[in-house]
This record gives sequence, structure tokens and C-alpha cells, in this order.
Amino acid sequence: MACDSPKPVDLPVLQQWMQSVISHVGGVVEGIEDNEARRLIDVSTEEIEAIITPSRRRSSIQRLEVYANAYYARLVECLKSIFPVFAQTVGDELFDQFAIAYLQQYPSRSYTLDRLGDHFPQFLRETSPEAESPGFEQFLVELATIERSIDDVFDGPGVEGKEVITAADLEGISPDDFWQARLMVVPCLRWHRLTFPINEFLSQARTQPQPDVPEASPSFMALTRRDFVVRRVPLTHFQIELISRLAASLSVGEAIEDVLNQLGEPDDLPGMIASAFQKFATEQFFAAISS
Amino acid sequence: MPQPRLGFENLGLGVGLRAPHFHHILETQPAVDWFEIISENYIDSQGRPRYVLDQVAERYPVVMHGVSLSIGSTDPLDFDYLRKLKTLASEIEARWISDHVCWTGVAGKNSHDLLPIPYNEETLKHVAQRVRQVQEFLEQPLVLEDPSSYVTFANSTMAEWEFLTALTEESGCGLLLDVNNVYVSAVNHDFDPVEYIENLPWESIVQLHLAGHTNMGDYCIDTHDGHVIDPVWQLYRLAHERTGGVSTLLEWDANIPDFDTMHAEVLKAKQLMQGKPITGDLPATKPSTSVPHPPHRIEHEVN
Repeated sequence: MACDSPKPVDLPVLQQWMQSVISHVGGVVEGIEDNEARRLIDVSTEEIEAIITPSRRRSSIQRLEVYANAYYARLVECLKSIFPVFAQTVGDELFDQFAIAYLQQYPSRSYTLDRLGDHFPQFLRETSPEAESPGFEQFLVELATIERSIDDVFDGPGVEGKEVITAADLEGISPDDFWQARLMVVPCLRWHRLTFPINEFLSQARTQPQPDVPEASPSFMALTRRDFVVRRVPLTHFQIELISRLAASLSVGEAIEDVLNQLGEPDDLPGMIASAFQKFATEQFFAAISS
Repeated sequence: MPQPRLGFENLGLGVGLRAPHFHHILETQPAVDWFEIISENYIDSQGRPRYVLDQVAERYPVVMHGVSLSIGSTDPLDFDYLRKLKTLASEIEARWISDHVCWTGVAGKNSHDLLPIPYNEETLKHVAQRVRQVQEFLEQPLVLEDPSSYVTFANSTMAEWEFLTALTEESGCGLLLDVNNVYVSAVNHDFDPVEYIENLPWESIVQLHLAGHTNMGDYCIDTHDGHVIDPVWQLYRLAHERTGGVSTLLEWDANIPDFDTMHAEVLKAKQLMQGKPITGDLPATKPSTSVPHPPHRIEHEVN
């Protein structure tokens, strides 16, 4: 039934109603009839012309459906670009289910789409069933965490055009001074302790459409950025524990001692230390050094 | 009576700065009159997008075009966002800042869509007051675009062109006339696009937009994914004649072709200005994207 005289509706109420209707996961018809929308504007689908006028060729509901169809499509497409390997791994259908459920729980509250995926790893963690040993769900959480981190590093602060500490800089410091030195890491450095070999999986995903999901196996990786491209750097257990302590402003000596307290002393400690700092410097992990 | 284009210069024929063209633009420095950026892709950037923008802004005039101002929303204005807009505009010496006559969300949410508002006195008062606030904060006139839209409201009491005219009078803002949006909305809402353009305050029009769209049979979607069709070029010709010539920009946001193809599309306007015939393309009937005005996001690069 079409109403001839429009019901008076304030702009704030109209906007809340329209947002509620076009973002309803069940579509426009369910959205109009939903309690949330009916509390705002009490019109049924039969009365909708009192709010949204039809055109010559399209009904009011068909016209609203353009916005409703676009709402999830647009945001899911964006999430796919933030989590491309995750989407590739689970396939379009499952990804859409994850994404739509996520968007219902965590709708965008930012002016930028770059923040759209910020809570996705957390959402996956919250909705994963409890498991005694790490399984597929934990793998997906870790994969999403790394892709989110990659996106963060890509457009966050970096050191392009700035001086960084090189291997030669480190070699020029006396052993005593080096032991006392504190190293400031570059702002684009992130490091991750993982229960799955995510870095290897990301490499495989470049050449295989759907690489096999790996068995759980502890892995460690860093992300940084050079020449505006995000770099994935595999780390050993020793290296990640060391870099995390250096980033917390411990001196080199304090950091090494603390790591040894945690991991025990390896057979070739001098070789491991040399190798770690060689890698850190080559990968440009350090922005500055102070004694 | 405001100065033509509110005193802003006619920058010529420009294109949108899009990530697939970053390398080409920096390498070849093509002879483009000016670039328009999507503001939200750059206001927080500290990576490649901002680096490229800085290089581009050194060589070309740049205009900032936003999609999240939400000037028609009943949520409070986001002054953190406005502060970032103002800072970037100053840093890259943006020629002006534009956005859309729309709202993008309410109750703190952002749909990232350009949602229409009812055109009536209540909305006019609300939007004009917010435009004045924004202009005061930015210390410059705001330039606002007619949105493509898919619904109209029963409580609208004026035509879109009447609303836009009143808005320029009440707030002193400029207009970014998207002639493709006029065409799309005319099809969707059964109005005459020529009447629309004839009734606008031409001296307030600072800029024109051109774009492709998809004809879905009984309605059109503003997909920005193809060439400009002939009826839209005809509207462009009319707008060009009525305004006396203003900065013109081609938007191409999905199915983005190589830079030269995109640039060649906007250069067709030059032929048209010289009175030469141009051949517009037929409207696409199969969208390459399912969403109106596709989302703008720059994808990350990783080794």
C-alpha cells in the first residue's frame, strides 16, 4: 500500500534508519521489517513509498537495494585487498562469510578504508573454537595477523631517504662500547612469534594458487620496509628474542644476557651474535646507536 | 555575484592520480595539466603513496578530492580529519579541497558510500551551517560535488539543482559538477539532465568531473570503469559553454587502463571545446564492479 502523504521524519532519524536498512545482512526487505529499523521509522515494506519514492521503472525497495548490495560488496572487496593471501587460502565463499560476520561485529568507524581490517585478526581469535593444539583456525589467525602487519608497515613511518646503521657502522665500534651500546630500531620494524611457518606459506602462495596448509611448527619473522616495499625477514628464535630486547632499549650486553637466561647458552654463541647483528644491519633494522 | 569559479583558476584537463600509474608518472612525467587525489589515501600516508604525491605535487597542480567529509551527516564533524586535510593541503599546496553533497554514515559508523540526502529546507539549513563551519576551519571555500544517487526521498521538496543553488548562496561554497553523475541520476530519477545543468549557478562551478558508468537496463550505476559515453559528452559540452570553461577531470577507478588510455579519454574534451565532433563510447552493460563509485584504497607492496 502506498502512502500519499509522507510521514514527517527528522534527518537524524532518517539517516539512522537508512543505515540500518542498507547494512542489514538479510537485505533491504528484512532490514525494513527489522525491529531496529521499525523503532526508528515504523513503516513496513508495503508503506515504504512514504519514505523512499519509486522511479518510473524501479520500486522503492529495488532502489534501496542498490545501496544494500554495494554496502557489503565494497567493504568485502577492501578486506580482500588487505588480506589477499588469507582470501586466496580460504576461497571467495568462505572469505565472504568471514568478512560479512566481521563487518557486522566491527563496522568501519574510520574515515579511511586503511583501518577497515584492524580488528580482523582479533575477530578471528574471538570467534575461533578453543583447541588443545594449534589447528586451522590458529593458522588463519596468524596469517591474518601478518597480512594486517604488512599493510601497517607499508604506509606507516619508514626510513627512506634517511641514514640507517650499516654493518660497517657496527664493525667500527669497539667490543666494550658495543656491549654498552643501545640501538634504536627503525619505526617500520615489526616482529612476530608464530606457531605456523607463515613466512614460508606466503612465499608459496605467490607461485601456487592454493598451497597446502602447513603443520604447526614454531617460526619467527620480522617485517620492515625499504624503498617503500615491505620486506619479510625470517628470524631464528635467538634473533627474535634479541631484537625484541634491543627494541625495548636494553643495551646489547643486557639484551644478550637476558636472551641467554631464557634460551640457555648455545654452542656457538659468538657466531650466533655475529650472524644476528650482520642480518639486522643488512636488513636495516637500526636507525641509530647510542652508548 | 561570485567571481567565476569562485576565483579559482581553470587548470585545464586533468586525471585522477591512481596507484597503478605511480611508476609511469614518476618515470615519464607525462604532459598532464593537473592531478586530483583521493584525500583519504594520502592524509595519513607515510609510505609510497605520500612519496609519490610529493613528487607529483612538485611538478603538477594538485586538487584534493575527499570521500569521507560526510557533510550531510547528522553526526558531529570530524575535526581530526579536517585538521589532516588542512595540513596536507598546505604541504602540497593543493589548489582546492572538494568532497560530495552526501553523508557516509551516522552513529560513528562509515559505510564508505556516498549516501543521498533529502532536498528540503531542514537539510539545506543543516548542510549550509556545516559547510560554513568547515570553510572557516579550512580557511578556504569548500567545493562540493553532486552525487550520483539511486533513491529519492518522499520528504524532498526541491530538485537537486535547486538545493545545490541554494547551498552555494547560503554557504558560499563552490560546485564540482560531475556531468556523469547528472546523467546517472537523471536516468535513475526521471529528470531532464539539461534542465538540471541549465538551472545551476554556473559562476559557482569550480570544476567538472567526467566518468564512465554502467547501464543496468532500468537504471544506471556510477561505476567509473570505462569510457565516457556520448550523452555525457553532450552534457559536458553544455556545462563547458555555460561556465565558460573550468578545470575538468576524468575519474577512472575500476578496470583502470594504462595511463595513456586514461589520459586520452579526458583529452577528447579538447576536441569538443574546439567544436570538433567526438565519438563517445556506448555505455557498458556489464559492470566490472558491483559497486557504485568503487572504493579507493592503495594496495600494499610486499616482497
